[in-house]
Amino acid sequence: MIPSHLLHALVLAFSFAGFVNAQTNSKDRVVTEIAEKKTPPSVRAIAPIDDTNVFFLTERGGVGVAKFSPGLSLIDWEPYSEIHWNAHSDLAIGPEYSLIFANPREVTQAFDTDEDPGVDFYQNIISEWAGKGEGVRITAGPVADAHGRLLFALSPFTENAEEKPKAALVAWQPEADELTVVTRSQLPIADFAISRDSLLAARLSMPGYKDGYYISLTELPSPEVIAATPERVPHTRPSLLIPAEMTEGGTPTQLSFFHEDGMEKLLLVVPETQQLIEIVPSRPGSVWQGAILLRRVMPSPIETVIEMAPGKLLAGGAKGFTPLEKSEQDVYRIQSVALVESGIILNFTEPIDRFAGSKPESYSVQAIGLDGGKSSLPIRPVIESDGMSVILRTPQVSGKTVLRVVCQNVPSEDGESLLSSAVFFTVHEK
Amino acid sequence: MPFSRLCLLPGFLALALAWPGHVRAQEETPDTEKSEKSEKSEKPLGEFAGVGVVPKLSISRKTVPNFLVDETLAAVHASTGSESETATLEGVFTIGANSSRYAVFWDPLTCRLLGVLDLEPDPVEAPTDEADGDETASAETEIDKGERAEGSEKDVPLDSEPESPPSPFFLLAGGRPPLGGTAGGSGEASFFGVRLIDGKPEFLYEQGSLLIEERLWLENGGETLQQQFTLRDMNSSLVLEIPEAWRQRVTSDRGEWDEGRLTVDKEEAGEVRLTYRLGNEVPTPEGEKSE
Repeated sequence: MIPSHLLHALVLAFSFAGFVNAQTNSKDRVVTEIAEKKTPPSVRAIAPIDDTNVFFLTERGGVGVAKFSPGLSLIDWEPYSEIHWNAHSDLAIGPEYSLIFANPREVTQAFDTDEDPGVDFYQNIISEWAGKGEGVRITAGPVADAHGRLLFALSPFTENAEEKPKAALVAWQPEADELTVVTRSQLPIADFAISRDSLLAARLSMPGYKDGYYISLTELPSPEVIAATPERVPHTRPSLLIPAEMTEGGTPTQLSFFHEDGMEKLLLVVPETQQLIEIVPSRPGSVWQGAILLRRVMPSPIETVIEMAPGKLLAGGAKGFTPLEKSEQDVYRIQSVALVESGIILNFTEPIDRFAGSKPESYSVQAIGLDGGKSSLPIRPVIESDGMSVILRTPQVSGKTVLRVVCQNVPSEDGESLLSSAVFFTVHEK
Repeated sequence: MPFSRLCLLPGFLALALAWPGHVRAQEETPDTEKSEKSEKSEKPLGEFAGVGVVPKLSISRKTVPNFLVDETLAAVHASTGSESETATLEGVFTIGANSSRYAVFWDPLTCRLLGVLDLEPDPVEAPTDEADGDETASAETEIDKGERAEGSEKDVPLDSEPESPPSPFFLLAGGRPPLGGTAGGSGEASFFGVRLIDGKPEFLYEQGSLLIEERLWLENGGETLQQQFTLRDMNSSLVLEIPEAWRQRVTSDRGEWDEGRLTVDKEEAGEVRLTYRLGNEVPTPEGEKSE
């Protein structure tokens, strides 16, 4: 249940948006309509309270609260803080609807103590960790996980003075005296998300590498396992490579898990190009891999996207909130890519032009070795009966490669061009 | 996020509320304000209209260029960050108002007032191609436009600082912490948090063994800065030290000044308020002591 003072803020805001009675004479009552002209908030992080209410961080570091219809149309929003905080673009919700955010030097919990409403008490809850005096800083987070912990990333981090400082994801629990290392990482963690099943998706920072962006998928052990066997803390290693070609050079920033078609997928935001990149993780063996697709190019700037409920996505950016509805499926695009024994299956959102789609020269498939090297794979397209799937038959897909599949001449049967002709698949094991 | 996950961090609200004096401050503030308003209504406005008027404050934490000149303070920042970090002051609180031409900086690392920036320095004095000028330009870009003042002008430089370099920063922090001379006040500062009391930020921190609540706000159309220290369970006199350069601008509501050192008897040491003159002309409200 949303507390009454929070509801009051939303209801009050909604009421004032409508009308004001200018005269009190009942016979000649004049009602003056005041149009709602509130400027949309500039949103850079969203934390859902429930299916239709959210807290959010603004571009300037303020906190707001917003109410939506079941279809995620914005009903109204209100500022929820008077102090603008230089926080990372992550916002977690604590007990009593407190808000938790971090800057490089501390994690802060903000409360509404006087129910006015709006947070008015900001408390430093984590400000000490090993190496802070030597420059170890919070690079991402905090994110609350299913075990009641707050997770955040530190870099450069080392537990041993003799080893080269790297990075780590650490967990904080109120009753614990010290932070717990959850994963170790060779590269600083620039952003991360955790699925309901404790799968960690982390974007690794490698500023000098211009050809792509590394994503790590790591299963987090439970706190009990870490406590029993601290030496078995997993390493956050690169799992997927998002080529810079796909993002047109823009850097993917925030990650978010969402559910679709019975699968758990990942979304990444590319603010510079207003792209939404979709990752479909898979784990055929011991290592995570997956497909990387362009899901959508937003019409306005985008900073963040979050799953409000299964199938309901809400994006935020400089021009406020944007619900991402199923209508986006109307965009003609490659919806998924998968590996099968006989080759590669591409699924499209609309039936393809069979004449063009049946020609091998309409496609090109490259295998880019993870250790370098590039080769073209011969393919033979076979269109499924519904016209929405194509099998690119090729016997030569092997592990430890990034597949680059380009459909350079595959319009829909209505003549539409693909949103993006290229998709990528990082293959560790076939 | 399902509500079942909202059960993390139990007890922290209680901890926040348990900060000494939190409840008292919440309850007493209206009385204090009421008292101030009552006093104002009985007194003439005096030579400066707007005395006591508290503008709506704009408060933010941000990274600003490092404008510190005090070596001791600079060393504190240098010891806690990388080389690039020492060129800036990270996460300092900035307090301003639309109606004020001044922005006030408070540092959670050293837990003290760091300085004040004049957002509209005299154009005659402002250099264009020197280091200070560059600092001015970069500093201004860090300040939100919303915190800029409008329409006010600076007439004549203060007598005490006509020959000083034309820096837009003044009331720069220096020396040991303000309450470092108070019994129990010699020790490291540790920032606990900040709360808003009627829109005014009140910083909560420890200095040595002292638990300090420091409230800052602008008054008088933004021409005056108020700084109120509240110390719980004080059983000794309070000694508050400020840099000598500040002295001409500062008055206090109690205690005796000896140059830059204010001493308040232990009977009154629980709370002391300083009033800083930011502009060139300010009144001296009745009841305040000045030198």
